[in-house]
Amino acid sequence: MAAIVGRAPLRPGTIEREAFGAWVDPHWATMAHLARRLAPAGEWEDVLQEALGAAWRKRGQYDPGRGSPRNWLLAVVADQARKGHRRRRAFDVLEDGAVDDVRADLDLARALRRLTARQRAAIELHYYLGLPVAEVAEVLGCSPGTVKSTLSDARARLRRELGEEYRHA
Amino acid sequence: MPELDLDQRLRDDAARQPEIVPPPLDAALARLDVPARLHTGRVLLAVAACVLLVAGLALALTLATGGEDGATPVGGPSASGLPPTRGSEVLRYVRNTGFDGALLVPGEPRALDVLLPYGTDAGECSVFEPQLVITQDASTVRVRVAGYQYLPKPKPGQDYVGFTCAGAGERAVRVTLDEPLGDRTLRDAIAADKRPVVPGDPADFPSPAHLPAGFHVTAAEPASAAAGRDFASRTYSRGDATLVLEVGPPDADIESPLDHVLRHVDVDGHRATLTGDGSEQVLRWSEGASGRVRQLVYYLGHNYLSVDELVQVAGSLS
Repeated sequence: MAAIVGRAPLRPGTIEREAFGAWVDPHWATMAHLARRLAPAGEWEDVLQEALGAAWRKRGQYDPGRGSPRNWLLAVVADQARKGHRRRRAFDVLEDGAVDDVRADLDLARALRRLTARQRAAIELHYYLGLPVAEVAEVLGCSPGTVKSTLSDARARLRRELGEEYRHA
Repeated sequence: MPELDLDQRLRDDAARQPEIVPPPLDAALARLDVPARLHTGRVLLAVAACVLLVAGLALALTLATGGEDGATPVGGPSASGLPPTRGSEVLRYVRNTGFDGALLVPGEPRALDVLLPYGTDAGECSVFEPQLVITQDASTVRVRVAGYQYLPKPKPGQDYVGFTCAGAGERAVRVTLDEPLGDRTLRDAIAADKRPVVPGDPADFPSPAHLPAGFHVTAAEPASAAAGRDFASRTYSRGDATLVLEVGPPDADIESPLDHVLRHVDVDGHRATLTGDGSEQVLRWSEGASGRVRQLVYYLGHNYLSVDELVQVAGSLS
């Protein structure tokens, strides 16, 4: 993929796309997992498709010196999920609704939703995708120390929301 | 209550997540030339998959029901508007939950838009059927969300095992109070966080003194820690062009390392960064002393605004 990523061809053709697909393929399921966890309800496949498109367009920005392909692709997914939430805020119109049309969460899922976007992404990457702190930092584009403090803040928030006597790890 | 390990609970929850079957990569690659439909609104919400939380594998929900048929559970409020049965399933009162926030409604002092979590049923899990329960007196308005679920009847001696969808969305349900909220305290009757809920007032959001002709406000949302929303926002539209004005704390949102910087511009004495791609442009800057971040997001329509026009709008924010 080194021949593909790092330059942006003027007219991407089939061969170029196949090589890109081969580059993405090992990480596609992980991208889907993160999209499903972070995207607005019902939009994860759209977010995944948007992320693939963004990765295709921005593949020239990938810098192997700053992280693995997987983490760069996960950053793209997280970015598209964030934009998906913003678009939903922008375009959804509040409307009256029948009460029986709405749904509620279990406590943990609901508490996760109450995290900020950065906290949520850090939790999802670290706990649900199993990335170590250093790799979460690559995805979020910040230092490992910032990730640690973000995770700490997120856990504190979750403890408050869950309201149970969770042990401080 | 014994101490619980949050780390372990998160890891356990992660381990219970079902395998995600992504769409075929080949098909997704073939769609790269087709403009993606990122935002598809509530229609998609009704049909698309939910985030699945397989709660029941670890949490057998012994439902607090007393009636044999479960339609009128002991201890549960009446589920008005919900049929007692759906096919072979019966409606069971499961549990209470909280809400995400509330908005005042301009011109309707007794009305309140209560923000509720919203999920969809992908057929692989049951969903809660929430009912709002409002109790109010001279000093306090309490809102409780009572959750119901359609579940098959258990065999004698069996407990229910709940598989519950956890949606990532949110929607507003308008309720009418006996009298205006006024100085009364709004409380979530269920949430562990016992602090009062401060409803957002759409009139409180930053607004520009200057807007290009034809734009009109279409939405306003407060920042809501309860809902994990960093920014207060106000949205304006003109045809298919949309402007979103947002303000939030310095550490809000995710700074994307992928945003393509188009240029730097001056907004009212602050250095602002314009990023964007083919569908949107984001003008972002920080206020001096407070460090609060303001950003203006422009979803491009057919009637393009120039960068100068965006800067003019940004510079006129109150």
